[in-house]
Amino acid sequence: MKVTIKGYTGVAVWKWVANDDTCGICRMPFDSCCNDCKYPGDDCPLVWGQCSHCFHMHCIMKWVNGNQKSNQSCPMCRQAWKIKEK
Amino acid sequence: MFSLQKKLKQDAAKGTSQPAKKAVDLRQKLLQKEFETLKQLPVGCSIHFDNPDVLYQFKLNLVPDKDSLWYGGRFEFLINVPEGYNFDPPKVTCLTRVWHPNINEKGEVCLSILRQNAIDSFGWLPTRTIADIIFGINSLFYDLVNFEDPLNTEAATLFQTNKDMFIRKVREYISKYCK
Ligand SMILES: [Zn+2]
Ligand SMILES: [Zn+2]
Ligand SMILES: [Zn+2]
Repeated sequence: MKVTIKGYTGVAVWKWVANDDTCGICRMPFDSCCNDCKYPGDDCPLVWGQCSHCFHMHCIMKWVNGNQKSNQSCPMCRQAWKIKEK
Repeated sequence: MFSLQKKLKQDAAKGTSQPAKKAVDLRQKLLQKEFETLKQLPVGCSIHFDNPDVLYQFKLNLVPDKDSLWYGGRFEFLINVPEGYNFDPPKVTCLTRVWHPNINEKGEVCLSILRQNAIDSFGWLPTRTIADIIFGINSLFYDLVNFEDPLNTEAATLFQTNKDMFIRKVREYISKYCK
């Protein structure tokens, strides 16, 4: 019997949630608003990070600001979260 | 024109009302969606709800196959999803006693994706799902066994110094504690 000793690295690669049309945080489609809002659109805008991942602004702010666990990083790719200004 | 900065300030000023109830609803909503779309579990894994209306607490039954050092065993895990899900990770307890470097005798499970405060970069993320956790627990019985950062140091040391003895101990626990 053989056991391969691996670090933790294997864990992160199972799958990337394909989030072309869904917010990876609240898991609502981008044409809907986040769970805190009632109406999509200007009240619940989308933002893109420099890493090119997209979230509802409310969702990503809740994650990076309200959350010491986040290390201020994108929950999809773990790069530092910086809003891409258009 | 829409200004992002202005919007951020407005929202911060507004604050949120009744957050506790909202969190519970949100957890329920997320879990409903996840379980509806949960199609495939690892071979040998099954989940059970003691109360079908309570989605935030369920059991995972794990029966490792021949490739596992724990072949012949059957292990039960309790998974508790906190109110703060999916910002807070679920809590996993192993209900079956097992001789395993990453599970201690109290049933605590060491799995990096369950860590809330990850110093390294593999801790919990809101993009992770219950399926990720089940696959993670399952792989602790295969290639994700981690002997370098163990929770049960004695088990890890034994594996490194006397593998036959380690396997004997695994078997002994299985015949004693697995039904
Ligand atoms: Zn969202
Ligand atoms: Zn919103
Ligand atoms: Zn990203």
